[in-house]
Amino acid sequence: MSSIRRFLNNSDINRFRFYFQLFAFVLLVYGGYLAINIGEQLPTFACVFGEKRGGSCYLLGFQHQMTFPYARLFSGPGIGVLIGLATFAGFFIIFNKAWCGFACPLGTIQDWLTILRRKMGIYYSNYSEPVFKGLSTIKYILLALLILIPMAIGNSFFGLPTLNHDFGVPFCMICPGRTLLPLFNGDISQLTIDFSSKTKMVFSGLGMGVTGMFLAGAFAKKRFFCLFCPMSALHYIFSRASLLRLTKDGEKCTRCGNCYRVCDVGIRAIADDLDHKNIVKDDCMMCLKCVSACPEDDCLKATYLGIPLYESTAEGFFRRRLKKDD
Amino acid sequence: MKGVYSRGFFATCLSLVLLLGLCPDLSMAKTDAIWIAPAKAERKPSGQPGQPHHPEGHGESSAQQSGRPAQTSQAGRPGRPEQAKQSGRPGRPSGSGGEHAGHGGSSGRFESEHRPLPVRTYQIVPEQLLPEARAMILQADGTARDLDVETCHTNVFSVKLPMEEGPMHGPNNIYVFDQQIKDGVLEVRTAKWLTIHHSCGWGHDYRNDPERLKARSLESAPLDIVVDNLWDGNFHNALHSGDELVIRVFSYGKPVAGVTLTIITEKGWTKRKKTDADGIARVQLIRDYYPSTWQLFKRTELGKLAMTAEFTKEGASNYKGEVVDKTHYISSFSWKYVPAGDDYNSYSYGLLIGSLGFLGSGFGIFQYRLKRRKPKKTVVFDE
Amino acid sequence: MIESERQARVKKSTSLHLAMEAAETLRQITEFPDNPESMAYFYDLYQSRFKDGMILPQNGKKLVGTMCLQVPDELIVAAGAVPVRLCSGAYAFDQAGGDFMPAKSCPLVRATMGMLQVNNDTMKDNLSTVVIPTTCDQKRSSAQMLRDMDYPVTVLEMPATKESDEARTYWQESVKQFALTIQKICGRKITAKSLNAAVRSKLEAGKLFRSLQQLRTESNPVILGKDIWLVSNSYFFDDPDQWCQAVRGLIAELESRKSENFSAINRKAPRLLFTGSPPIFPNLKLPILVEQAGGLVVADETCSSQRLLHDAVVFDEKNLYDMVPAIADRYLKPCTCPCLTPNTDRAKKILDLVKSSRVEGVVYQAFSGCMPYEMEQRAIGDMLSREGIPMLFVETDYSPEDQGQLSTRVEAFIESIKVRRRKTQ
Repeated sequence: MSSIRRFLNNSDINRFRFYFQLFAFVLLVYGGYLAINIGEQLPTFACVFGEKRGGSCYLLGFQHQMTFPYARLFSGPGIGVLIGLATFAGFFIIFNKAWCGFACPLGTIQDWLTILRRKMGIYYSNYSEPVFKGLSTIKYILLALLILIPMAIGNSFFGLPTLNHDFGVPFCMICPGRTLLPLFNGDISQLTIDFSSKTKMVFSGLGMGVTGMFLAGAFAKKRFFCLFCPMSALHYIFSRASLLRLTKDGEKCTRCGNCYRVCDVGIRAIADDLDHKNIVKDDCMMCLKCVSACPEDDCLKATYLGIPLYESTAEGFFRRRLKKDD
Repeated sequence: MKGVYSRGFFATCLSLVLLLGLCPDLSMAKTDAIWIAPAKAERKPSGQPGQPHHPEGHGESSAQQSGRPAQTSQAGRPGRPEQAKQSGRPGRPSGSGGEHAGHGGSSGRFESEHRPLPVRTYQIVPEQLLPEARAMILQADGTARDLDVETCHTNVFSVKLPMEEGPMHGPNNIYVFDQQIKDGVLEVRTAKWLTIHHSCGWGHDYRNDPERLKARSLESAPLDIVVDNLWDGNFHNALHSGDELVIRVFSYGKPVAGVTLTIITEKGWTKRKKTDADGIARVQLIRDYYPSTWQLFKRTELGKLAMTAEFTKEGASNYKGEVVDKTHYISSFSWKYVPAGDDYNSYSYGLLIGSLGFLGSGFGIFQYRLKRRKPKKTVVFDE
Repeated sequence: MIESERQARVKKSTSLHLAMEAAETLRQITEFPDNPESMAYFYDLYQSRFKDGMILPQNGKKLVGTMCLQVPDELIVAAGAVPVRLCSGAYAFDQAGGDFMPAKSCPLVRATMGMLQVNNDTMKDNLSTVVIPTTCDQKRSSAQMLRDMDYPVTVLEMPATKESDEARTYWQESVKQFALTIQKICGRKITAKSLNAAVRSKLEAGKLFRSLQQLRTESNPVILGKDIWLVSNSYFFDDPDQWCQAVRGLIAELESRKSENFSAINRKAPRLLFTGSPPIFPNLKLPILVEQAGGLVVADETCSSQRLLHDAVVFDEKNLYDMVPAIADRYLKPCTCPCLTPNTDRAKKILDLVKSSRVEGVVYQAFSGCMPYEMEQRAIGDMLSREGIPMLFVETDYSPEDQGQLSTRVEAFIESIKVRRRKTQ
């Protein structure tokens, strides 16, 4: 048992994550070819617009359900909505935010862009602390909008006229996952501007604009889009209940900042928060790079149902850092 | 040999045209072919069977969306609330809404059939169905069974569809057959209707399942029209104006050559073609939707499409003791189409905006980085 | 003419005193019973380095002197030069520095300055530059004095705090600038490859030092604190590869001691933590006194030993744009130097070491004149008394004169710990 643990703690999570992401990408984007369907309420961007997907992103169905008029939402079909949310939460609770770091196809694309940039030797951008704080509220605004806009289709707010159905899935329309992920199925049809109505035109225009910005942004900044991701905001509601946890022992921390240094999303609390045991923040994607970069024994660890899966150890740290590289 | 424009063909046109309130000539409303069309749910058994029209909601959605006069729109409406109650989905949005609001988007699929109903009721048009008429269903899993056709009073019949995943989940083919001797010719008629029984709530286990998705032919059908690629891997209508129809014609399960196919759209475009040696005819559908300005364009604008296949077989045959030396087979099938995505989707604008977004942000980042290289010049107080 | 003769005379006498001082310290160190055999490498190293004045390493490469552990020596190595930490612990140099430095200045700075003054003739040419980070006041001020002595000086600007984002960015920019400066001085471009090699070399040393530290805190004492200082101090100037080799040998020997259950000292010896102003050879006066009095230094929080190699550089991308800031972070973020404010991390670190190394008492050394450590003494003492750990505060300098008085205090302190232990048992 202790030798297994030692093996795990000495392992290189980054390499594992690279291959796991590849596997998850193939599964979620091409799973349809093998008639794989993991679920319809996945807490990750398994884009529904990709025909051959192996599971579906919850946000589309969720936005669709939000179009129900109140009468429906608070009666029988409301149970369906709750079941959907519960299924989503169930999926989420199993892996917590690791859905973002290990499974999200859009996140994987961003990581690939990062690899490309690194190989080209172009330096990355960073947000300063205040900018980071300001930007990270955007995801909550997006989450509110993706609930409220569809609601305004089925219901009238303050006596205003209801919105038409072209407002149906507002977030999907601006999500770069919609435009990019179907490309991997050979479907380029999402790259168009839809002139069939003004709403569609604006949304599809925004979608393409965001896609362009996404590509440039993710090239310059690691996990650029994740800071704005409303899915991540929705995750955070359930994060505390998750079985997979990332914990920190503040007493063992020397605040050396190695974890902060390697954090792709730039969470400063991972280095400087000495008081909280549960260290998963809303922007965290549980890539566990922080654990692998921590040189103190047992300071950071990922646990599942309380059982440590991956712990920071000096031995593992030096082994990873000193292993033969190119 | 009959003329290419058979009377049945004209009847088809007529019935479609009538529906739209644009009736030209009633005198020709005599038909050879029989048709299947969904019946209104609230229709009384003794009631007047309506004109054949396409699945529930077509009338409404097309009227609503194309902004046609209220007349048709009202005609289509009364059925809705009750039907909605029956299906247990009150206040369901019509048209582009539905289970796959998002899908509807730019690909312009049509989805009324993408809605599960526990019982689907059909009527046969015209009403003069012969007493021996029988109906069959070729289910989505490839099995066939008989259906009851109440021919005494009305030509309305129902198909029960279990509301779950099972043999019915997917495209179901409904057939009605009858035959009679008329003017010394044995007239064998077939009507075919396709319904897609699917709810996203059942899951998508059959999504992209080629066995489930394929267009089927019933072995016992005297003349069967099979059109490929009418729906996509997730059971949405996938026929767009301008698409090529690949029509295969079978008689008792075998492809037949030289069958005259007649295709007509709601707007009056017609096309005739004979099947080749393999029993296949390829027809390119017309592109017939050109609103005056793009603001008037509706991507869900439905076009309707009807087709008949017919051929006459020489040779003696015996029907109820009577011997005739000719058999005339006729078969009908109808479907719908929506504008092609190319009519309203622009790749060039998409890529333009995408590139602008990319280059704009890229340039912004680059400028920012350049600026950061310069030393800070001065501090400005905010007074 | 007369001036240069005087200079030569001073140099000669200082060298003589230095050699005697070093020999005396080594004698005291080797007098302990059961010294590990592998320590011979280090004893010899000091013997040869101090026997004839101050000998700088000579291997044909450019030498870059550093005046503090805050200097990122990875960058110096990557630029093809050899970093030598100049911080001196020699009383002989302290006396030489007393000629021109204020009487109340810190003996460490005074000795370092004295060394550079006495060896002005040779070191000025041997050292490509002397890097001085803007840490404490006295080091900052000595930069100007060195310029006046015609030394090539590179000032490494360091913020006085590490908490804010601005401070971190400022330091990163400062280190980036230093990278450019040093590669210009050394005439070799720093590349990702050379920097990676330098980082790995220091990581390897850090890994070994951590293992050594681990062995030092074993409940069965296999090595004494005084030897640890010799090992860590020698990283100031020794060739890293040879140093690693020697430490590996030492670790192997200690591992076998551990498995044989061999103790280097009485197992019941009070376990102590040493903190404060850094003991640097030959000034290992206080650690030696403590261990002569029967104590065992199982951990230290000093910039001449445990802080030197504990922290590790981590970068995410093997390109200079990430590696250089990563190196900057390694030198600032975990730093517990009392020059920084706030410096809560030092108290935290001490507390963590007290707990993890099962420490029974703390020896706090402050050089008279070393304001930052003197001023922080009270806060650390209060924190430790809340934790129930006794602390001995010693204000001293490099002179051997207070040895008798100190040894009485140290013995009393160790005795009190033993008494405490008996009471609690």
